Amino acid sequence: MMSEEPIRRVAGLDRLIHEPARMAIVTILSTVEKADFLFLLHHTGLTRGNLSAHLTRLESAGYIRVEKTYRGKVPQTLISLTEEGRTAFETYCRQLKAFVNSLPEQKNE
Amino acid sequence: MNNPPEREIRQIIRKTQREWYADGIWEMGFGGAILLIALFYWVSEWLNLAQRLGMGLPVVQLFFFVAAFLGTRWFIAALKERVAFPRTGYVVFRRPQPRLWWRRIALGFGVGMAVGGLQVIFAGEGSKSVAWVGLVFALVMVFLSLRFGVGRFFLVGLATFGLGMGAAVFIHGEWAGMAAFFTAFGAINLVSGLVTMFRFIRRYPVVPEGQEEE
Repeated sequence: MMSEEPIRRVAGLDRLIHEPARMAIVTILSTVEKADFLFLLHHTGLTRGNLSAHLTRLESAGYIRVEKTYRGKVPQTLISLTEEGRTAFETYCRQLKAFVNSLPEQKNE
Repeated sequence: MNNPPEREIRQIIRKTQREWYADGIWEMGFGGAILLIALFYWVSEWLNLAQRLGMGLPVVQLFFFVAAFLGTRWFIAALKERVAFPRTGYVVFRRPQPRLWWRRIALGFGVGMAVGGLQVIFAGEGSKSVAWVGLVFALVMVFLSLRFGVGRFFLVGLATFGLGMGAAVFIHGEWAGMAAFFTAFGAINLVSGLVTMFRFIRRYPVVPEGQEEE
């Protein structure tokens, strides 16, 4: 019988990050210092509305910083991971790895 | 064992890092720096600086390498601003520690030292050092190819190895061999970068101003 440990581990994963679209956004932002809306749109393949909604959720949680600025005369939305977001992502990766490692080996069928 | 979320995270990180090379601008900058180095070798050969400066020439060579690699920074930033950002979005990659310009100085210094060292080791053996320099640059390109999953760098690496061997066998004189090798190596990078950039421009049209916003 499977131990309860892996179940506890997966239940403890940060659900805000675990959602696939948000995981992609946070992963991209963990690799860069900052990126604009177009860059995230291009790399995630999400629609504008979808991306905007996910960014709002991440911003409300304090995981990302959204900065409205101008590059020349063109308005630009710059998005970066906050310290809290970076810590949350690192914790999520650690927990995910621990969960996978705690699973019993599966036999190839 | 299959681990979709963990594997997916690794793939996204790799794909984001690869974006730096997706538009060919880095190769053009690198190729330009290499061509500047080639120019140094041609001028050295033409003015016979090896005899005039003696042991001072490797020092001049070292400074030239560092300056060439620092110059690429300005070129890459300017072209990214005009070509890449209006198409696929603005991004600032995380600066490695120590900061990027120190890394560039170290890179220029390291390459200069490697090339100078090989020249000293193979002094008096004709253009044998050119083959080794070709091998060093070929390995750098293959490493970049494997690290970031950019297939064309592997081909450039193979071509670089061939160029080093070719220059060592067919061109007599160390400085002439170096000049020929660096010219061909720089040109290959420049052409590869240009082709990649034109394909990038064709694939991704400029997003009209204002439309890129949420």
